[in-house]
Amino acid sequence: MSQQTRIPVLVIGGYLGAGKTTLINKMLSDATQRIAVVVNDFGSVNIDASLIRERHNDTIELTNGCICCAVGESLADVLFTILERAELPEVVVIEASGVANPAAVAAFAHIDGFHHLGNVVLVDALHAADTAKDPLVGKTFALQVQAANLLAITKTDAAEESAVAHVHSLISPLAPTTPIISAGGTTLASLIMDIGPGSEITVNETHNTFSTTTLSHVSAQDESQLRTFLQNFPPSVVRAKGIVELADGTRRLVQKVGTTVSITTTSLPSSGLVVISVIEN
Amino acid sequence: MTSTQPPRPGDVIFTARRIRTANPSQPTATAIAVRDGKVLSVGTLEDCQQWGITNIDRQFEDKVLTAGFVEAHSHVMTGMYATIPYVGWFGRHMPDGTWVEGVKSTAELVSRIAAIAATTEAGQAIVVSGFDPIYLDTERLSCHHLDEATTQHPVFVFHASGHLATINSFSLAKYNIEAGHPAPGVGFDEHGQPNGELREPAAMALSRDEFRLIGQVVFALDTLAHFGNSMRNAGITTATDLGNNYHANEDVLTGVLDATSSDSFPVRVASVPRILGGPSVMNEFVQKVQDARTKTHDKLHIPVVKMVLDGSIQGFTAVVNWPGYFTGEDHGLFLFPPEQVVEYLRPFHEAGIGIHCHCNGSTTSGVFIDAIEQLLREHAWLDHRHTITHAQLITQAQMRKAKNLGMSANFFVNHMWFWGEQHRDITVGPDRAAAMNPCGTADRIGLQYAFHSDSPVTPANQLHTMWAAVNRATPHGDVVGPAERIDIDRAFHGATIDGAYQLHMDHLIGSLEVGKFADMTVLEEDPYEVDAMSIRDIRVWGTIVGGLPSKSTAQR
Repeated sequence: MSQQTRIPVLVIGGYLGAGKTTLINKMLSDATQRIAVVVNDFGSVNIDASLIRERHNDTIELTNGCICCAVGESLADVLFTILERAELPEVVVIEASGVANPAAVAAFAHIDGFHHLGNVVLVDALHAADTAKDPLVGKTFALQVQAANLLAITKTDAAEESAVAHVHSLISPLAPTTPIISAGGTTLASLIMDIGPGSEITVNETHNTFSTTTLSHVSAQDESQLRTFLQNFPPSVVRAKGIVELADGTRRLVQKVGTTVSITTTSLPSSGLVVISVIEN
Repeated sequence: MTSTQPPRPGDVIFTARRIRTANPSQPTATAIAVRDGKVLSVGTLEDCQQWGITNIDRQFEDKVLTAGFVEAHSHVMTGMYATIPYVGWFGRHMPDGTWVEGVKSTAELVSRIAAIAATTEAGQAIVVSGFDPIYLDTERLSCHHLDEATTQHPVFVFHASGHLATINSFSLAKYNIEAGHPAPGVGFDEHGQPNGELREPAAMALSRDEFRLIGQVVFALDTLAHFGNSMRNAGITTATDLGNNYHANEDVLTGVLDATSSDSFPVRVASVPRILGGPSVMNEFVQKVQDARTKTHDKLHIPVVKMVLDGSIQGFTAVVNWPGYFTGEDHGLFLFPPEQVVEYLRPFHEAGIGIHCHCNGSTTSGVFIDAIEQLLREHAWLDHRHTITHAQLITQAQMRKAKNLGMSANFFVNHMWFWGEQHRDITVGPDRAAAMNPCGTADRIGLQYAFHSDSPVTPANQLHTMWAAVNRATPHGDVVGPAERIDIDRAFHGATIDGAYQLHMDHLIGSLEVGKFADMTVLEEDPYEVDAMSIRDIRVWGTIVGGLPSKSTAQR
């Protein structure tokens, strides 16, 4: 299979109650592209009945072209089945279970036909401090944070300022190079999914603000130079996406989600590079 | 005296050198009368003849009949070795009864694969399973070894641990696995080239077709038939498939119900759904289980459900109490959030469906026991029999509490033979290895228990589990945990009636009592009379299920 048809796979991780389902619901209801979501808890996905086209065993098809699959016994089998669909999704979003290590889930994103877009791990501002020191699951929590390419502290509007700062100080040493933002489901869904040519995403959250810049004249000699260019972005860049022409005239779709950079070939025209940065308030 | 009931067609009396009934009120007998597939009378031939039966089957006159062995934790996957060649270190019976010698070296593995390749069309997948390099001194298996077997076929060697596969260069090329491949779990040599190792299912799935083939085999109805043969050959009359998804798909369920219903299907099956998905689908899950139960028959039961809460001890993924693992890195991981276990299990408990929960580590056993305590506070059910399955590292305090709550344990006592030395020397150290699968302590405390093989993890064979529980011997002749050994009478009950109890099926199976199914194991010798170290060497003639004899096809 050519690089071109590799479908990006985003993993949403985080301990129980961190807001994964809220985010998935938001992505599905506001989808502007064909998303396939793979969820652990089928029943918790809150899909407007009017959006449901068909339900077949463990798959729900939506009128907006999205599908929702239950992970069932084997994530690999779900991904193989997705590849067999007549209309391939443009992106796959996997909701890791509340105790899963997102890195272990993301390992499946390298199956032929897919590539790994990144692990977004949600951290609950209200409960993370307790989870982190829980004797049963403290280690699981730490592994989840360490596996993140982008960390999002959720529910900050309901938490004390000091609590958010405390959570920040808990997770930052676990993942010193990973950007940490505070964002709810709506903002996250927008950052991850709505980015595209001409998009102008500006969101003010309590603790930080997101702003968009488009770099219209990005050029690179080759993939490796392009990769280095994106990797060297300042840590305030939490998301980037665009189509860039290389010196040989071929083009690449590049995406950045926190610390991950993915590059795939594309036949679409160059679009410049849209970059979303975060500024602390 | 003679019964006034007229004899019926099919009535039969089996005579035997001895019958071990697992019924304490009548532990031994020499004849058993069968009517309608059920036990009509147990005693002497004269006792049985009082029912007016003249059809006397004397073929077992010099053999020993026992209450049929009950395997309360095994998997249909056992049948896969009929399709996927076995290449493990220990010799093993295949479902058709042939004996396959163990693979004791990499060279032997290569020659086995080369032999398969010689009769396999080029390009067709060669998948073998059960390879167990933990016992090999030779260098680590790589694609280069497998290339000596064939360069014309994709080869996939699935290791016994379930966590590793090795593929050949043909497959590496087929799936574009090259230097720098980004997938975690792809192994590389010192030059950065892939060495054929694929660690964990995510990486194994890179070898797509071969990986999927295993999944297809595991769920094929043929595999269920092979499973039945394997169990019969081991003398097992009721075998559990602990953790499947049959209830979820009507076509699959119908296939399974049909396949098991005929007289020729040699074993009674306890089909146990595995809890999957999130808590929000559990009520629907309960409903599906209850619907499926309305379609079951005498040979297929859906007695309980299963939850898998942690990993394995030898894989360091079981969640263990302080002080943690003896050597090696602790990868202990819950498969469900501990705080959510009650929420998951509540609908089953309230619906009166028993729960068997896979807990290898001590921490995990504690989480499950606490969850059951909470459910019992909320909702009284005195006869729940919720079972900690494996329960390998359960502590004495946990056993006392489990006993008080009316719970059971199903010990994986075969571990003492297959990995007892590794547990003592590597995983948990001497103290906890000696207290693993603590049958002796469970008896002192009064905790109800049975034991299992987890087949195909270890071969399904209740003579072997009885032997392991009685001796706790290791391959190098050591005894790990002598204080936890039990006697043959206790072990025999652990292999029969106790498993039946945990499946809520003790009114149907597990002992030879009037009204229960006439399910018997036919042995050449009496396990109570042979030397304790020879229990596992007793030859199994076969079984009688519902009064119908079925001869083992096992060689040697």
